[in-house]
Amino acid sequence: MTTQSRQQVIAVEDLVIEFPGEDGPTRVVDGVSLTLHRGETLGVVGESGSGKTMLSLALMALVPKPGSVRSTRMELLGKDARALDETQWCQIRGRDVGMIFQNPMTGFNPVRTIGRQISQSLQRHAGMGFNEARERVITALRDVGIPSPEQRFNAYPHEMSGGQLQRAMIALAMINRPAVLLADEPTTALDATVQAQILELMRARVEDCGLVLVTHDLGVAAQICDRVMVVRHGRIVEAGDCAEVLRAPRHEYTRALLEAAPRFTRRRLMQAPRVPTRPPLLEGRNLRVSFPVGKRQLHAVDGVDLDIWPGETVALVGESGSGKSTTALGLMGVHPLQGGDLRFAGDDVTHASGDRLKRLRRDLQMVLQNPYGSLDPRWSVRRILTEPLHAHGVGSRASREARVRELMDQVQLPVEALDRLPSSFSGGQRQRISIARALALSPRILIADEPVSALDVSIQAQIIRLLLEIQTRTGVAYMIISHDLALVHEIADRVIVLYLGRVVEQGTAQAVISAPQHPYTAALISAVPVVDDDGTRKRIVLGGEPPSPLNPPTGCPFHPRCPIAQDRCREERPPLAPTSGGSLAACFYPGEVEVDLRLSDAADG
Amino acid sequence: MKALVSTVGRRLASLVLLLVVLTTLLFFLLRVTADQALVLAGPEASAEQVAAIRAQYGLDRPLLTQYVSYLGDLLRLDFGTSIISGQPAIAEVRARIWATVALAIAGMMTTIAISIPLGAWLGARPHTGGRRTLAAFVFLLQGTPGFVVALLLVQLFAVQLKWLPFMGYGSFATWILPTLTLASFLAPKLTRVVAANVNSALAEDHIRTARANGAAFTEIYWRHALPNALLGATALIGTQFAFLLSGSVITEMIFGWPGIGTLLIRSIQSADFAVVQAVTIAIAIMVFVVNALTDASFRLLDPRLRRAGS
Ligand code: SF4
Repeated sequence: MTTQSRQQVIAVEDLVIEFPGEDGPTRVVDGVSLTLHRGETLGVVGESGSGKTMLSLALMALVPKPGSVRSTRMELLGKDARALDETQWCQIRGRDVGMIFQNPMTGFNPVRTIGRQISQSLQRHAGMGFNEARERVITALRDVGIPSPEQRFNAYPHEMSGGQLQRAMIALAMINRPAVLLADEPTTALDATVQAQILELMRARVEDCGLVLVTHDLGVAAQICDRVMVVRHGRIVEAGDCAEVLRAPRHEYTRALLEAAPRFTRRRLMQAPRVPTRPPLLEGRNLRVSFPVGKRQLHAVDGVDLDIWPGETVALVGESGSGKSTTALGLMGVHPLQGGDLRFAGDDVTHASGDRLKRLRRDLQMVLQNPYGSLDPRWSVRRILTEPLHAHGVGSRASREARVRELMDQVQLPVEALDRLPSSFSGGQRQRISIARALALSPRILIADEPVSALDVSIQAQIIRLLLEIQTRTGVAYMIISHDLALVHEIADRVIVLYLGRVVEQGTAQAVISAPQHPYTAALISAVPVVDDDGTRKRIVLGGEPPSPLNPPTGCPFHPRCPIAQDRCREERPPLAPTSGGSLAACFYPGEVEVDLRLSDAADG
Repeated sequence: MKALVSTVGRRLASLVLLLVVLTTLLFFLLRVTADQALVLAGPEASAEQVAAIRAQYGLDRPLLTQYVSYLGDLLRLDFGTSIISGQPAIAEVRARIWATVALAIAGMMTTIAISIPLGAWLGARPHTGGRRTLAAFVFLLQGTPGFVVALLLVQLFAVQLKWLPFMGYGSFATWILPTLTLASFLAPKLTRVVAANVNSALAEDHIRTARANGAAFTEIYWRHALPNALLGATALIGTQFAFLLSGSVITEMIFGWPGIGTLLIRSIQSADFAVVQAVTIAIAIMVFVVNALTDASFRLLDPRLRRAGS
């Protein structure tokens, strides 16, 4: 397919977007030119602060107030868009250009039904009456894969899941068959499994219009883009054919992004797994955490066995709602364990409280996902780092100060920064501070809940490298909670896969990732949008979303979504049992579903 | 339906509990702070006279016995007799409650009529010249105590211009100053909340979605921002109305309004315990009903609070 023969829908030259500031205007977009044809997908790839979102908003004249937009040429469907006034734009938006935003949960008005909000656009642009529009909307909802669309038409946003809302958002953006579709990080807020569904849907639905996909994730761009444009600080650093750019990036920034992008490396697969020689540090058997919901119990963690050996890295993976974070908080004693047996270094700590819990917390520390919310904004870094020492009565004044300096050194921050407030640090630096705080008491296990997912990709790699260095130096064991299986493959020794609060597979990272035994694990791996995918990678796209843990399905809890479910699976629950692949899996037909990893030969990841 | 019945049931139960605690506390507190017999007998009475009065009114019995018999009366809906007028306390309340409720309604209506349009207008584009000045003025007003405004109003319209009577209860003219006083007290706050709500509603993600689909500002404003903002203001309107029902004492005093506020003050001063208790119970029930109605309207208006399937 040659793009030249198709109609050109966007042509922009030398686009500049500025915001007034105290010391002169800031340019968030600086001289960007681009074209787009029907049937073509252009990826705009960049990190936060690259101006990629403003760029897409400018194509709809939606740049917020004090911002000013200039260009030497801006054509939309062959017409000069710079001359349009707001009334004319109102006719174009939603009719000729559709837009999908990042967060589907807040993208719809919470007090109006989904159906009405979508119908509105048809009534506005196509002059339809409500009843006629209603039929069209129901068809559109069906087309984007929303089950029982007649009922969903009358649903309020809070009654639908994130994935469904994003589908509805796509239906809305496409309802008037626009010539251009803009999508700003359309899958970033979603689970990897749901992301795979949405990307699949966008690929299928876009045929006839031009799509601009704004993303930070080269892996996502690799899936569906024909061309990519890498932007940084408002400028294009590299542009060209997507496969070409990914294969042979010319700019060093593109190379850095590519290095940080998710991929499964052959090198890692060849490494021999580390075998623990000492007994486990933490031993959990049949752990249970449940919460009352109305009159019923929600079993968030439902009989999980879990060991952590000294100095190892174990990864806990699963979709949101699988019980990953609750398990971690159960180990920390934040959520009381309702059942099971938990031992730390041989001592029973199942129901630890008071002094014993305090001692346990010294050895077991946690780093949270959000480096913005987890540090007290009014405290200096010194106070943040001294506080845990203080609380546990460790050391004298002088030795605490020495420890704090040592910590700063460990996380590679300058000692001079000790007197500054968290707000003066970047996201990556704040995460370093959180890590330093967690290390203050020299814990033996550090639990990290999505430690890098809120950070830019290039920063993620730095933080991961830092964590690995600290582990080599101090011998601390990590339990990493992550949805990113490529990352898990790189750094974890062992992987534990959770589904509806139960372990469905566990084993060494090499075994679990290269030869997953449970179909769910295979689907999770398959959902990772790896950059080495040239569009031919075979993927297992799971239907639907996890069922509510309030009433788990009978038999194998995974059977409603399992691609190979048999009659037996509906009645019996498979136990966690050894498999020929080397890992333990809770499936009657282990190893039946194969994954296409698209291994990369990259030397380092 | 079942859910509704159980909600109402739970609410009624908590009302009963509230009333029990309230009457108990009130009963003992009143009797600790003042001696009814001394007040009844007057300053010149001899010790014998006081003792006689004590015996006559049953005040010589132990406090606990008095309390039990009071509770027994309450259960028969007998609120006791006023020692001042000799009327049943309930009759005193009934004679005056309408004046208070009607004034509260008038005050609330006026507040709403001022605040919602003004707040909606201020919130739409808060950073433009005239609106900024007006918003600053509203902010100033919010800090002014209600009685100051009342006195100013009286001074201007009743004393200087002589357009309106400055006291009394009856013709339409007598309603104007008290109503305005209440409104001037409540309107600044409600105006600011509506303005802030409209403004933050306009910054919501879903507004951007609507714009990206071609909705013009007027449509966004009337269909999305304003309704959502008013939904948020419902809670404040409920609280303010409850406040008017219980707290317009000062306004009633200033304008000689024959409501339960003035009745309450007078009864406290004259140790007319039965009336104090009856008024308090009446206020508690009214506030409770208003709160329940606010809650119910919330549930009705906001689909997020509606239970699925009911
Ligand atoms: S037991 Fe059956 S349903 Fe469950 S994962 Fe295995 S094949 Fe699928």
